[in-house]
Amino acid sequence: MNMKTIIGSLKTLTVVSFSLIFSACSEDIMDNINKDTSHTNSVEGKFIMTDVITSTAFSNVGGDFNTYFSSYIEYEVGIDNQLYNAETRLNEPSAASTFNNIWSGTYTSLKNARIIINQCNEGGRDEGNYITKGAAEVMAAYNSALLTDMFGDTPYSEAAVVDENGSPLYMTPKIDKQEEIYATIMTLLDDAIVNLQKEDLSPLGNYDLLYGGDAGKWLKFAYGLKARYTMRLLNRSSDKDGDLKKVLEYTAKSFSSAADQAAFAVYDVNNINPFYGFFASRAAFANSESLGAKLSERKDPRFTRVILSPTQGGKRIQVTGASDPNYVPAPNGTPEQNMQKYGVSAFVYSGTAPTLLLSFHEIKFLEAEALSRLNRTSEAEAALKEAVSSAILNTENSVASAITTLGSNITVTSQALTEEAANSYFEANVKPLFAIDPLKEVMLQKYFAFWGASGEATESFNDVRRLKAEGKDFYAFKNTKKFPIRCPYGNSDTSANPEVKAAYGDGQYIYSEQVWWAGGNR
Amino acid sequence: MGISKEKKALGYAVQDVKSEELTQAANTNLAGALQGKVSGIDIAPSSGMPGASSKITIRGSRSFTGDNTPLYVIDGMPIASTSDVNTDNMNTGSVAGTDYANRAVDLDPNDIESINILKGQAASALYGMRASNGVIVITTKSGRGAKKGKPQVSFSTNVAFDKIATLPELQSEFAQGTTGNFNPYSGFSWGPKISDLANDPVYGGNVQNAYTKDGLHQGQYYVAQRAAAGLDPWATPQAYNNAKDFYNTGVTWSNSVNVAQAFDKGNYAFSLGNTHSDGIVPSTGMNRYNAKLSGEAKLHENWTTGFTGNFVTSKIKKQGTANDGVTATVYTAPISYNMAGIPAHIEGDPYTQNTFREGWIDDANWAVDNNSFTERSQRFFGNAFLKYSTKFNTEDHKLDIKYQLGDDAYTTSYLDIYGYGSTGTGTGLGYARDYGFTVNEMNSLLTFTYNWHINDDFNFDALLGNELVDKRIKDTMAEGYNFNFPGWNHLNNASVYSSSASYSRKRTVGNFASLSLAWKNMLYFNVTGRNDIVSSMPRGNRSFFYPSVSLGWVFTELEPLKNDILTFGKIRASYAEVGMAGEYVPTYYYTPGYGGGFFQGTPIMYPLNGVMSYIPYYVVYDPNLKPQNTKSYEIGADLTFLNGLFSLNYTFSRQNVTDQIFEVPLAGSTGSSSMMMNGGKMHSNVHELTLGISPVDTKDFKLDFAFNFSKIDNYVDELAPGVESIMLGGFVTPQVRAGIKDKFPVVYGVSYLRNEAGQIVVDENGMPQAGEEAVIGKVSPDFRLGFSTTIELYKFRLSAVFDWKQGGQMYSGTAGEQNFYGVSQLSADYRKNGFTFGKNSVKEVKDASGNVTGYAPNDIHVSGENAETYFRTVRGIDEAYIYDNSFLKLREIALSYPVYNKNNLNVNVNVFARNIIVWSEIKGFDPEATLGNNNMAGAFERFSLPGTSSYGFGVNVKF
Repeated sequence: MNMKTIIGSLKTLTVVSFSLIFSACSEDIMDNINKDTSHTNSVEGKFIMTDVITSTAFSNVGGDFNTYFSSYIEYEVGIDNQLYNAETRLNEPSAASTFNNIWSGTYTSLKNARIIINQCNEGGRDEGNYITKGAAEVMAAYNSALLTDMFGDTPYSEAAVVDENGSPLYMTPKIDKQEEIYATIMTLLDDAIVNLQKEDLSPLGNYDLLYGGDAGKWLKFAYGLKARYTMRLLNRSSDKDGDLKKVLEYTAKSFSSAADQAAFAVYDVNNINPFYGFFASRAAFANSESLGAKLSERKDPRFTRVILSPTQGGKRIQVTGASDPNYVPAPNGTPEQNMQKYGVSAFVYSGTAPTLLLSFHEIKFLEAEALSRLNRTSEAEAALKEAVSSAILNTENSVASAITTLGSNITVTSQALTEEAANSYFEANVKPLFAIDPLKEVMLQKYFAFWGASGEATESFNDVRRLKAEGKDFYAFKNTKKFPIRCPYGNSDTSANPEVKAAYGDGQYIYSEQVWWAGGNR
Repeated sequence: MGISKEKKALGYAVQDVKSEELTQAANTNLAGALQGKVSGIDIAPSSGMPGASSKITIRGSRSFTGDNTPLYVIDGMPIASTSDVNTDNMNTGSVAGTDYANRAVDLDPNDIESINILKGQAASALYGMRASNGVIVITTKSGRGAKKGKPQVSFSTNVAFDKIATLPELQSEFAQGTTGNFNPYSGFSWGPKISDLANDPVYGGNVQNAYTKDGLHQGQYYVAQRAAAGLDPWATPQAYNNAKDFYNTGVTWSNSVNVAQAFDKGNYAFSLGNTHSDGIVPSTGMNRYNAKLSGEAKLHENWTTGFTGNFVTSKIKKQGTANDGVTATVYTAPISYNMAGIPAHIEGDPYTQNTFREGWIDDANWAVDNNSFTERSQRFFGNAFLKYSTKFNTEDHKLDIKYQLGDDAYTTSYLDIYGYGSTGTGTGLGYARDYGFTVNEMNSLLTFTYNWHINDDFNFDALLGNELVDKRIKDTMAEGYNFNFPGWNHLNNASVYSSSASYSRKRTVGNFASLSLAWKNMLYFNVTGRNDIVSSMPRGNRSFFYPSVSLGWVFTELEPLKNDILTFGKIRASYAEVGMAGEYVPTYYYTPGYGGGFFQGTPIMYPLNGVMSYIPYYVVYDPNLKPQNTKSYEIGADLTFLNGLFSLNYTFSRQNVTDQIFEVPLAGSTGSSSMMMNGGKMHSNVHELTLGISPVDTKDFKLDFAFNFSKIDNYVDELAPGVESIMLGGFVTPQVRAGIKDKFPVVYGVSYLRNEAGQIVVDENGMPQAGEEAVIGKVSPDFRLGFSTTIELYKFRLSAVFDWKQGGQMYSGTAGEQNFYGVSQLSADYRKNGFTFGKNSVKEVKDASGNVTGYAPNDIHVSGENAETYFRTVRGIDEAYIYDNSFLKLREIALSYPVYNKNNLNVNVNVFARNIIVWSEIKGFDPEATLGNNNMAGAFERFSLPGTSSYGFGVNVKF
């Protein structure tokens, strides 16, 4: 064999092998090989809506905000680990890691709501689904308000938006002013009100875990939020009376009974209420001394219904009153880290209590507040009465759930709360106080109403800050340590988003800087 | 790759380990058998459990969160060596659940003829992107070298006994309780003196109380858990060593048979091997069976064919670690509590736990009966080839064309059970998870090897090749929560279910070439190039080219330099680039899960009310992903003195790694949590030195020493913009992370409060205080030194391997928690005598108005009664749980003697011991027992499974 044949045979081999090679690795073949058959890259809006609702209810409304605020506003006392640290104002309230999960989670919910809205726009895959779009606008508004209420000026217009590949359009979203964010929220709700009065080509149906696709109820929800947020901005209103009248206009178009309220009511034995889930995993709450004193002073029937004794051989008993030796509340701000020592509220066992995104009683309280502020006292009293009894029935629903959860581990010594009991309480103990200071009693009753397992501490924290900013401190909290007036930015942004990092600084601003609607400027 | 080269010709460092060195101490785990024997390599075992993971890295790391372990090539074909399950994903930061074996567990060291370790990128460039981390080239035993005629049979059997490597020193004076008071449900040992328990007002048998109504029990005390278990509740107080009581003596049996024979026109070999282990933790163990058949036939003057096939099946029984750790209760149990003597469940109900501390982690004795973690695998790997060789009827040309087709196919199945009554799930009703992988990787390899002996001075070699690798991975998982009733801990008894499945494919097509030119046995020049096209990257970014160039100069071939002292001298230099591909898929949708954060278990799960949801996955994929690149150079010298009396190899290498592919954490306000993209830089400087001395080499007395020194400095230079660290595992704090400018990796957490001068500042009570979160521990050692020796005296052969790690730190949660719970001897010493906090701490000096004017050395005595407070305080300071972990281990010592050697029958007996801690800075714990089967390995420990020392003997028979 000579050199020529060697080269010749090498050539043939090379040609053969290379033609094999290139047919084995063309871009199209490689695309086909790398095709991700285990996942989808796009879905109809209703599949996204399910989790927008679930995440908003379970994680954003009922999750860490609600947990920490329960300690801040003295619904419960944090007695272990993170909640103890929050209670005693150690690092937790100002640390960027504390609210990072809910920070990211709320932006994710907002992003997903925006994806649905986009898909329903002209040319989108869900074009023509106006009700879906309206519902997504309501949820986008809801999460936007959560973000700015808790974090103040925060990334918004550039936040939670993705490009056609699903990548963030902005890697370091800029901070927007709360005033601008609220303007967008109102626009979203106005658009939703228009869209919710149209049709869906492909209805949400069961994928809508709030209303089963009932556009009429979504519309009431949208009006209710208009009422809530209009009231929220009252301190910044240039026409307070006008805005209060608007609140009344909106509440009139909102829920007419508890059957209408935005309740996330999917919980059962295996899917559990997050407040209960927190306690089941961490057991870090005890009864609040200051709340107990307020309730006891009013002879509020919730006292003996909700407050339980410390654990005795794994069992608890309902306390019969403030002088019952079984009543062992934790001192606000100075508890011991001792899970055996104190009693708890029954709510920590309310495994199936729904999370309320916006309750009927809240609408009635908003109505009562607006009427009180407008000095329409007798109308206000009627609204308050309905609010209180509706709230107490919600409490009873949660207590009943707790009694089921505890089974043989609870000794029940009180009667179930009924509408009659609520009304007689109102007549005997609420009305006289309402007569003295209508607004104060409305707000305090709203404060009691939002104590529970329904995630309403989140909204209650807003009320407390709004009223305090107005100079009306009705709450007389007993924790003498400094009061956090907002949440710190999440550490995913304080580490990866320079503007947020600079705004966060050392985090101490959460004690000193009010959000804009509470009179602050950031 | 069909590449075998004379070592002399290489322009880069490689190192060999021979069969005898691997098996001299009968280690059934390949990674363990390599420890201390190779320079430039770092082996991090996770524990002494059968089948425990271990991480091998060569010359540091190149990827922050991705795989840094080398490619394994067995009999010419790459095979999978890593676990399909990463503890970080499966166990939320590697701090719960269980360990996962690497697929290298399938290799039986007994069947290995030799191992060749390609350390640098120049050495491995031809293997393509998978070889960025170096290559472990393994040749198994074949009949190739066997004598023709009679078959050669060898049989070996070994038995090894494993015991816990070390146990911490416990106090023996103080009983269960806090602040000096006895509490039968306390997790602490800060109670009264054990000798005073009988006088306890509530539980003492010497005094009138609720339990002594029917009479006193002098010298005894009432133990509620004994009563709950149905035993006589009265016990005489004493101290127990619960950890010592808990561990068994493990036993490992291993057997292997190898038959090899050579014929005129071929050879064959088969091996059978089996390993059976029972671990020192009850219920753990491993069973492995290996079989191999290989053969080669010369069909014709030009044609050769051959095959090799391996079958391996194994079962590994594991236990929980870290937050699910069985060691949590045994290491912290109150000194006065007798775990071994009190049943871990209440009388008549095996599912309700009866423990010293209710509702915490599962009691160890309960867990080993009720929780189980099992891995099973079946695997085939092997290949067949056909080779055409010709010399073109000349003497100066030689061409080999070889086509080899191989396959590596395995299925693994994992079953995790938390039994009915386990605290590991929120409800306490148990949990089952059944999942597994079916992986098939086909490997097609075509090579042309050409040699041209140009003339007496020049020699030319060329290699051309094509490799096609097709991989398919199927994985499925089913999980069930909340068993309906006790006694049947099985998926089929669950009341809530969730399942998932995925299937993916990957293809890599590589074309490569190598050209070498040698001049006068003195100068060796080599260039290589390889192009890979890989499916798992985005369109347009799939094709990459990697070059390498190397030069070796045997300067002792120069006439003027020839001498009798330096008999061989070579200097060498090389440069190479190798890339690594990512795993790109277009950003996709998934069904979100709830859990984590404050929740134990899964509080809410889809489908909800019968409906599912899909939302964008929280990780997004950058469509512009490009390969990560490693550029490296190395220079070195190989010197042999006095004809082999003394040999020295030194290599310095530098690697610069850019464009790492990793999940870059995003600002949460983007609505996504991370992006798979390029970012970051790291580099490593590595010094490797091997030194061999053979001072005596006579018929009856032979002496060899070898030293393997490695200094690997691996630094993170950059991460992605705005990203200062990447978490590798652990908790929010403390955690193991990659941080900019830090050695890779570091431990991060709450540090001691320090002043500007860096001194720890104590408060007015003499207690240290929590400072900011910072880097609190550097994991990477200053250097490692392996030392091995072989002494042959008459027929005795004694071998020993020592392994010294100098420098480096680890987070030892268990050691720290033993102080916190008051079980350590230190806690009792402080309690009895008080102490002054050391570490060169200072106290504040204040003026009359209370302003700090300066610092003075801390001389504040903390009284014994505040010891409990002290340990509670430092529990909030992660830095207090950081320990230096230099150590010296006797990896192996073995003595063998041929008891019979006649008529072709050779019987050899041996005794051996492994992993004896000679000296360690951290006391009472194996400094190598850590969490994570990924890049956090070796850094972080908290209730992890322990290390073991082994002792055993065996017989080898050859005929």
